[in-house]
Amino acid sequence: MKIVADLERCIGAGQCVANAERFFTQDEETGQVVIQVPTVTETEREEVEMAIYACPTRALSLIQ
Amino acid sequence: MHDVEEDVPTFPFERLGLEPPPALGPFRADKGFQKVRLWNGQTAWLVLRHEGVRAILADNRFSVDPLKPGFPNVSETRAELLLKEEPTLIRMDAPDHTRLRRMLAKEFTHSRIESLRLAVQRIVDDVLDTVIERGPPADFYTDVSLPIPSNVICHILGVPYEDHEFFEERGTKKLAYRGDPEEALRATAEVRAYISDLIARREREPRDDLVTRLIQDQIRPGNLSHEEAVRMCEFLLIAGHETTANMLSLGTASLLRDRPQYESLKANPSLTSAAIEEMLRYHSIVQYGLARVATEDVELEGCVIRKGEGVLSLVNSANWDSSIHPNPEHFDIHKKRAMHVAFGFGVHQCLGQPLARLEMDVFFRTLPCRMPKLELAVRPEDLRFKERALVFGVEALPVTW
Repeated sequence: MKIVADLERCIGAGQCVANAERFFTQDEETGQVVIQVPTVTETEREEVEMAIYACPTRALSLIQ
Repeated sequence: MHDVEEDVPTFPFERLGLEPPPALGPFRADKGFQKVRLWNGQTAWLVLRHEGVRAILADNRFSVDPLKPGFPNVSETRAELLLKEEPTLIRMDAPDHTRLRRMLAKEFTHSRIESLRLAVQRIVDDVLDTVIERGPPADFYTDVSLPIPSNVICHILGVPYEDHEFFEERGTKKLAYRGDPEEALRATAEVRAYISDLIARREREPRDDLVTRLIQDQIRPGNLSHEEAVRMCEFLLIAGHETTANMLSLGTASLLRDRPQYESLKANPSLTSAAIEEMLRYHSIVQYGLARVATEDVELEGCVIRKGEGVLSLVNSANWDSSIHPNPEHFDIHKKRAMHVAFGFGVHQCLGQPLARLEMDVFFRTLPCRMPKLELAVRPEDLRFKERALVFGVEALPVTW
């Protein structure tokens, strides 16, 4: 699975970083999401889904 | 003809103690949406459950603009203020809001906020040193909870802390739920004039602070007007101190009310993160709901909200939704709870939440070690609350040690 971010929606709230720090960081200039590890294994899925659920602007998704 | 609207309950409901109003429980259990009547006779929808609140707040068919017909104001004071003051970013929709929020996002990233940890620790240590040296008793709100976030937001913005009484008093007047609306407007104008002077000073004498960076990165290149910057910084200054001050006192009161939890946090600081989330969930200080108005008809979980109807998303109810948080009325720092909505959701979710969490983290790791014998000097049921305030908090927190 792969993480996809919609930067039109992202406002840089940083909930992804708070919930799954290994996968996400924030751009220092814009605060917007930077996906550090785009590929997600089945065992990591729960952690990433938590970050996706936490995103206040629903800017993140997982695709097959 | 029978007027069904007469059966509509009047909002807000009475709050009896540290807990959200008991009247919310049955409405939350029933449908999760409830029509209520406001002070001016207008009706609005309450949204009371976790998923409903998330759905509304993430839906751009709802506007935060108080000038749109049907926008629900929770009191006459609030109505007057929101109709007359030039809006801050929490009262602006996209694309204006997006533009301003994006200018601030980099100031509140996780790494940026984490880099303030030592500065926050120094502030917490200084405040606790002072109160400990003076000796018991103390009003924990005035002597401890308020100076910490006030100092921190001054440090970030570059506002001189010696002016704290000026902006704290005006912040209280501005965030009044009840009271003279002219006073709220005057308080806003005075803080804005003060910030306008500060920006002018920083234009001449730049420093390493948020105001200076806004001037260099946004005002000078022409992305942001002086007036917009004034409103932005006034908002950060006010939003940055009173909310966290309330949480530090309420969190402390909840721990002291159930002493073993205070002892437990002292013995095991790794509980701090869960403790903070539980405090945020349990108290959910934004007590009168996040106000929106529908810009078109919206159907949600069987409830139809018509264009022009007001909606109040109650985070203090959503965070007591037992389908998400079992035994919500039981304050328990040991329990890993589900995600709460104390900071809201959607594009307007609290910008300062990493900062609020950092302040709470440093504070609740430090307090139990520094004041191990801290206890309430009144019975919990005798605590007095800020009756005129929009944001929930204690009026005073008498303590001894």
